[in-house]
Amino acid sequence: MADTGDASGSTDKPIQVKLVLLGEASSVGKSSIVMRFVNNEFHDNKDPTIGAAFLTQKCRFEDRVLRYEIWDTAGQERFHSLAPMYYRNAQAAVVVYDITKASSLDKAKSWVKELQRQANPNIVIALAGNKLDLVKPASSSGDDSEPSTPPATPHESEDEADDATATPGENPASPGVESLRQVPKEEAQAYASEAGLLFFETSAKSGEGILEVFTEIAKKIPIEHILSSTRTGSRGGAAAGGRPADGAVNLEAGGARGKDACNC
Amino acid sequence: MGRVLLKVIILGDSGVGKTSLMNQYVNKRFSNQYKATIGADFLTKEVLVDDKTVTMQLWDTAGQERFQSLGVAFYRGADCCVLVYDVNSSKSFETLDSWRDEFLIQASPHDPENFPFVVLGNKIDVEEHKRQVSQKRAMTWCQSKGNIPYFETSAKEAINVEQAFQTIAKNAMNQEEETELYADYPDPIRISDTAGQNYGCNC
Amino acid sequence: MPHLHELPHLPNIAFPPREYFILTNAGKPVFTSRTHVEDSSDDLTSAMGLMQALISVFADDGDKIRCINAGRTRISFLLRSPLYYVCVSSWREPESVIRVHLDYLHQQILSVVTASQLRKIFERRNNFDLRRLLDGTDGILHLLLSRLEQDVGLTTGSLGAVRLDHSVRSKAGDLLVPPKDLRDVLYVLLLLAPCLVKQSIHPSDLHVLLNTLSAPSLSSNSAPSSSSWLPICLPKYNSDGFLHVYVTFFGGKSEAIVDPSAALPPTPISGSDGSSSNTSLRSTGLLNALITASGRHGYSTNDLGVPGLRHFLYKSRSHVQITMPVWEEPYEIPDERKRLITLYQCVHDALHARSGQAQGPLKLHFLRTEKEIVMGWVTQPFELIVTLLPHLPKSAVVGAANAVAKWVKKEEGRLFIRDAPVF
Repeated sequence: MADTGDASGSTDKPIQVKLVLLGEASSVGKSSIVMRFVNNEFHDNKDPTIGAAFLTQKCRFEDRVLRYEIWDTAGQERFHSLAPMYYRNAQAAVVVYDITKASSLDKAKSWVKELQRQANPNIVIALAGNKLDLVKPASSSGDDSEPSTPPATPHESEDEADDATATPGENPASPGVESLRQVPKEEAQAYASEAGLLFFETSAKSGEGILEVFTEIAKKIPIEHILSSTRTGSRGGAAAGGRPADGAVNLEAGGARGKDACNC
Repeated sequence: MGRVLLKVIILGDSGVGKTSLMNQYVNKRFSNQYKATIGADFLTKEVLVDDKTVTMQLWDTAGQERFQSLGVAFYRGADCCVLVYDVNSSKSFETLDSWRDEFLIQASPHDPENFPFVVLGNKIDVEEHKRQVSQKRAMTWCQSKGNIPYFETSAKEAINVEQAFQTIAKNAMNQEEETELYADYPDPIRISDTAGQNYGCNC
Repeated sequence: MPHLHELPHLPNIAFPPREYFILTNAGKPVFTSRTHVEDSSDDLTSAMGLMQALISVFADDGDKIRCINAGRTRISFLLRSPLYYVCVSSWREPESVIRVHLDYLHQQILSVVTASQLRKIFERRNNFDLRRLLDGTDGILHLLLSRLEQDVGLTTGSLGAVRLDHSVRSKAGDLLVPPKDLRDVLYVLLLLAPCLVKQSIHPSDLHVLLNTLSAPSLSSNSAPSSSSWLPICLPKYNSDGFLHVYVTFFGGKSEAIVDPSAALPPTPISGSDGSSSNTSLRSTGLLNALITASGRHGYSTNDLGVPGLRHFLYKSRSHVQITMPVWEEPYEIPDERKRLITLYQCVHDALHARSGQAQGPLKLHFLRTEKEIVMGWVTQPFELIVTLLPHLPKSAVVGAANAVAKWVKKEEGRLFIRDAPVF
């Protein structure tokens, strides 16, 4: 059934998408995002990843099957110089930060810069602000942990550790909970669109936003490009019918399936 | 990860008030039990530097005699060195040079030109006419040594002590933070190269 | 006529947790076994400052401090510049045991940063805060310490193998030999729980590796599809470089193929080759056989039918492997087990004159306590320590030791890994 010349036809052979997760150490939640996506599980564990973990997950997207090959990398500084091995041939990257920790966005930005400079030029980068559950009043975990409170209003939040500002009680809008947020959504979103990234706020704990990350990536991935390159690559250039690399189909137009796209 | 520890060495002639300055700052009595046996003692204090809490460990030397060598080990890995003299004693000011050299030789910091020193002229509470070292003279010396920050202090009346130690902590911290992480993973071992030393199945 | 050496019994002692510290030679903290550091951060930095000062006083005289005895507490120092390792213990174990512990801590640190990296960093900056480089390894060090407390293999410099039928073991071994085109593979190890199916690696390196692999972040992520790559330095193999370890978990929580190799980690191994030994293990039903075997791994002293026998530790010297029965009454109680392990360590220390005993190494060593008799016996092929009911005559003890040795000899094919394929 191999090459009938119709690359877009439904085929059982999954399209492999290599995806790498990057982000600051100290639990921004990279591994939790992967666990939620791959096993639909959440473990409240704080043990850091060492080296890099490799996991796979198949997704049905429109009429294709994608097989995400996910490299979940360790965030510690000492592993930094190993990162290129993982992102070098990746088609997609998810750069994760913690919306309750302003410094983690800085680290995320530096990852994005590095990817844009050194990774595959077609790489699809998604920025994910994780731990949305900590700032949603709906889930009541994680409040009274930090006595020093970040400022109440979003536009001041660059000075996140300035403890001379408001105490929780003085914040009338969303007492206690929303105040854990250190990175305003608007700020991160503005940065993401400027840098040409997909943007999400997620909660690996509740599952919110996780599938969307992988669905939107699937939409944006130049699948035809992958198909043609794997065919030429692994089958010794037998892919005469493959489309040219830049003739990739624009998936964004027809792909309004939202969450359900990734259910398999 | 634990809190950053900043190691600060305080040097200067005997009697210039090193111990009083530290006591004033840390607000805790010295034990003095180690000083008798090992020639040095230290105090620790939690300090907030640029919104980060760090632990400052202040090493006070016995200092009775000039150049009584404490040995490399005490100076090793210092993040900042504080040179103290008494503004009412020219002699204690003139020996700062030697204390500084002594430190640089013993601690052999990675970048001696830019190693952070702070100079404190202590005992400014004493009557003006007893003063032997002018502020100008001290500042000129500090400038000639690469713009060492200079404070005039009184341990007795708590003048400028807090500010001086805040600067000490901050400069020590800079030293700490400048450090890049030497974490490059070298190329992995080539197994064929090391095959000779491979104990393989011989164990 | 064997030389019997009798010592007064060890008194019953309590076993408060040992405390371990790692600091740089500038007195900066690197690690502590205390878990509530934040509460006592001040004390801790003071303690480390004092340790550095003490070491320095001796160093300035060209001397090295080894230990301080204070009542029943001993503070031991191991200096591996630029790092100092310190242990405070009142267990009354031989000094050599703690030196082994501290050396393992050192090996584990090297597995993360390598000796050459460490040297380079501290040549350039002797005020370096090493915790930055070790970020995230605290858990591994804590694990190592708890293994050191319980695993006699570590302190006897040997390994434990899964008890397996020889045919199953050699089949598994054949499958692990990597395909010819996959070069630069150094070892392939198959682990069941913390035990080994196949091996060819220095015991100390292997313990460092095993300990790293038991890190919760690896084992708890053991979804069927998951595998990990991690850079590791195996110091006895080469303390200056990294190997990349490829780990695949199958089925249960604790089965892994470990494959330290110099190959770079991109996809090839993970996609095809890594899963090849995985799938063939499954398809031949071997995996099930292995998992079943791991359930039957333990055995009881009752299996031996030696009267009065309570426990033993047998080390095959040629295989550098140990075997012992499960801990049974009364040693299933943690404090009793600690006491017996400490007795084993005393016997081992005496047999090998590890603490520089004047009489030199012994062939036999005999301890009698109120609760048991412990006898160590060294021969060319093996070392054996047997534990028996108290008040047995020596002749009975010697007879029991002979019986155990005979039984192990008979079972050798299942108890030990005898031939690991070389490639």
